[in-house]
Amino acid sequence: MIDQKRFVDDALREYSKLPGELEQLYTRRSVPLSIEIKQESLPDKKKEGVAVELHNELHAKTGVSFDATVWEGGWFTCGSPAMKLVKFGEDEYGELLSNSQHKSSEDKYVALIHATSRQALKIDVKDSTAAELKVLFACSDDPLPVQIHISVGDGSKLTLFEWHASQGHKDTFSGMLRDIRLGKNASCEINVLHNEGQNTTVLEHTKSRGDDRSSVKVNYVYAGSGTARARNLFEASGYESKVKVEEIIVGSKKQKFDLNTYVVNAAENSEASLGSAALAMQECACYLKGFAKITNGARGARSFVGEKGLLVDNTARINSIPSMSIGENAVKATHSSATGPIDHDSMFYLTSRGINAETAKQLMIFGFFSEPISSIKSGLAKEVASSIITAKIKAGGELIGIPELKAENTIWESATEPGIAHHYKYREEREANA
Amino acid sequence: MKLEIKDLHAGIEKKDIIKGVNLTVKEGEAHVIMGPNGSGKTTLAKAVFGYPGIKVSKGDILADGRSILPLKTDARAQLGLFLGFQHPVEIEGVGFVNFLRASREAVSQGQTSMKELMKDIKLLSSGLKMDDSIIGRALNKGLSGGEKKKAEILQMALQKPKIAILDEPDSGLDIDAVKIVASNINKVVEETRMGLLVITHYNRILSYMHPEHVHVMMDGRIVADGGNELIDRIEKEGYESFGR
Repeated sequence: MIDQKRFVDDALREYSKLPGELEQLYTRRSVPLSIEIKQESLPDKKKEGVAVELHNELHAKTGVSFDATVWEGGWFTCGSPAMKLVKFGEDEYGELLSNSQHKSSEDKYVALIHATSRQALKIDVKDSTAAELKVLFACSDDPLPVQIHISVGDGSKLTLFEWHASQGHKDTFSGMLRDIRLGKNASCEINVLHNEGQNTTVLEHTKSRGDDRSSVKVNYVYAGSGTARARNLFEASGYESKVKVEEIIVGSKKQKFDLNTYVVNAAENSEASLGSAALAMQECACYLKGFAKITNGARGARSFVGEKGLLVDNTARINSIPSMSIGENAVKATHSSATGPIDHDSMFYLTSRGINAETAKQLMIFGFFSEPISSIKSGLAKEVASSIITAKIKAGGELIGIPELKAENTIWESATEPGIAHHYKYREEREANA
Repeated sequence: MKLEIKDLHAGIEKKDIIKGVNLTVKEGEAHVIMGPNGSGKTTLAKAVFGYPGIKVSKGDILADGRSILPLKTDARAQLGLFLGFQHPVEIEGVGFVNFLRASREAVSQGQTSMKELMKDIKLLSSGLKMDDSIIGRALNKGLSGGEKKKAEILQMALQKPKIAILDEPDSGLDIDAVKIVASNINKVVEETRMGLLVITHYNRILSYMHPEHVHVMMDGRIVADGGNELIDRIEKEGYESFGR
């Protein structure tokens, strides 16, 4: 059994001695953070009221019913046997810590979350079953460090939608260590929406491994928070296993995004890809640091890193740095990077059809995100992502707390005949369920 | 609508490319401007639509007697003007149907039924012998030169403008496609009685369209006005006979 107190002490020690960045390649291209450890005990019960309020407001405005709401001091409304909350001090919590793919010594902020988290969300889908879960992570003035352990057993399937929100008025952080493991022929789609308030710093760490013929698709949408820092590692570690990661960033109002994601082909005939699409305006700064690695022996591997940026004004900046390390010969590996302003000839073409400049700009922005949004399989996640982007763009870059989910907000991403039919079918089903 | 171009001088930065063009096109009339490469035909079309890179240094462009120079490009289109592009722009991710809906709503200033729009698109694309897959594509993305020209005509037919300027609607088309495009332009003209100004190098498309007014443009000026006899003269003698 792990000595949890000692584990925390070690993590605290690592946190105090580790530099902000360990990876030399990217050290000079990172956003400096000033995070303090403020959570020494669990928040009082009053803070639960904030989480309940946020949950109710979200439900009222969007109609989304969450299977669980995780807040600083615990959780509520869990209705799924596939999910449980494990508390610090329990034996199971110790097991999760000792088996975690995230080690304190690898990253200062991993150590921080290990030292401060007092709960773990455990999702376990097994016996070739399928689960569809929706979880709200609600953060107030206190930090919300949380461990998320996801296990999808052989032949099982998981669709998870995480909505991360905050309502605090003080500077705080929302940190998560997400540990994903997939068995043979298992598949999962995880949709992570970061829509925290401007005072919140997001610390996002995901590590994923998949067995033979497993498939993991993770879609991140970064719309909120003042600063978001991600250090992710996705490994296609089984024969013919697949990893696909999409990062969608809509940045404005001096927001900072520092995203460093590794996709690794570690087995024969594996596929690993990372796509990043960042829109930046109003002094927003983005660092997109996608890294693809093909290990020796991963014959037949296919790897792709694509990063693209759209600068809406001349105050924003996007640093796009795709990199690759290829240790095997018989592989296919490509990378691309393109960042630029809105094209004037395209604007002229659209406005020559009577479309006003503002709408034309919006059409092009939505077009920019069309591909990654269309690749989201979950209807709800697609609808929420589209609505957040639409609302933020239409509000001139203001951070959107809770978007209104409307058909007209989402139709743009699926304006093809089958896409439209699919869209309306989804809307009808949702309305019928409501 | 009456579109009047009066003593127009326009160009890029301080260099005039259009050097005093006078031209009037009314609804129901069919005009053609012919001229060699670099004579200013495309610049003239873009100037009418207020292309940001082209500055008007002298003269005026009027729609029904009112200057459109202070208007932005979208406002000019909303008056009932349409520009068929020589090189239609490909725009990543903007769905063709979505674009058409936005365009129709902008011009009609009202909501568009998606069902009706899809019906109209299918009817028009069938008339133009276009592949149905265009419906599922991004705007002009991956289309051949000929398909792009057909897509421009489809847009014109949907928009039902009062006056359309078509910049080389025949370039990049094979002989069968030229016939199809010409017959569809004629059909829209018959249905809407719109005014038409076709810009072209060659007489190929004109043998299917029969414009009443032919203008020859050389070095930024209209150097000859007339009827079909000018087309025959260009065919026989080339543009050199107009003083190239």
